[in-house]
Amino acid sequence: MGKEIKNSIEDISKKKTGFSIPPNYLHNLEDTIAAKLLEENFPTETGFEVSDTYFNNLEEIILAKVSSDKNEIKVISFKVKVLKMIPIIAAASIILFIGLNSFVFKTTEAITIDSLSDDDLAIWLDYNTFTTNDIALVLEDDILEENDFYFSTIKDITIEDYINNSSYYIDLLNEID
Amino acid sequence: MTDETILIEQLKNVQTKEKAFRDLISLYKERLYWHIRKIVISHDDTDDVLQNTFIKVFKNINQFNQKSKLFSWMYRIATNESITFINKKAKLSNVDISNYQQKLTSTIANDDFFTGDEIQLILQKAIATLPKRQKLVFNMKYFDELKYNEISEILETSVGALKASYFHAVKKIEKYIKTKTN
Repeated sequence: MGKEIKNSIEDISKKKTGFSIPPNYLHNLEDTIAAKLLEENFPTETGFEVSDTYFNNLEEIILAKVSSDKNEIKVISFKVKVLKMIPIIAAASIILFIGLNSFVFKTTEAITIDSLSDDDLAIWLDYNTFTTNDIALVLEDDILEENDFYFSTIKDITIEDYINNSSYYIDLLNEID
Repeated sequence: MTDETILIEQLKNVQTKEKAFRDLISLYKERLYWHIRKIVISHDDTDDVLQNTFIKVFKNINQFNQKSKLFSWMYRIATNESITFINKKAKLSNVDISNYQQKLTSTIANDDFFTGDEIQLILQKAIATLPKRQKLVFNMKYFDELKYNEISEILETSVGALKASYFHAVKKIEKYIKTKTN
């Protein structure tokens, strides 16, 4: 008797309805329902206002800007921005080189870091240390925007070349093999 | 052909581009405005970011590959523009983005264009305490009533991760509101 019931339950569970659910739907269901319950206590409006006339002639304002931009199109590509950083880095390296030669490597004696006085090191650091503000000021106009990444189209072949030429990724690929 | 496909074709055609672009602005200006407003808070800043968003759409429409809906693509651009804007402002004020947004929100009670009541103000302050992604997900789901698969297209994140983000955001907001109202 018990065996028969067990068999019929197994038969029912084998029957398919044809319905399906999106993958992982049941996985987050508890969170979804809990969030729904909690949010019932929140206000439904943001409280932000906008003047009644603001949207009236927005099209004209934006189109006027687009038209004036057409006469003076300034396209700064992602690549150009990166290339623009090279002279800054080169200039910093030259300053560092001259600085080291003038203050540190000028003497004929072999100098080690231990042979330098604390005062010399302090003076050098005082005059040669870049603060985060200095770096931020240099980067002010060159900072990459979120949309620079979004609009930059990097070809598959470029990515492939990068991976093939990067020893770090080659090591990773070898490990996978 | 759907209305959206026709509009995209017109936007990509030099002869019809300007007229189509005007239609595009009329169609989406309000939705994008409110999306940006919730991120950058002030009306004047929202106006700047909204205009920049449409200008970027105009200039880059030929790069739109129709893998997502046009609206999702524009929403993504608006989100990126807003985040870039806030990052720049935070950098100028020498604070991190999260502190900057909390500072902004603390002044909205004095904003002429904020007419919310006390609970709405508390909600905005609670939202300002959320991490960037949770904030975006909460605003899009709760106020804009976008579906998870739409948010997933905009933020390029899995639906499962979005649900978890939303759940954590709601829990944090509820906790914040409780501490402020009790």
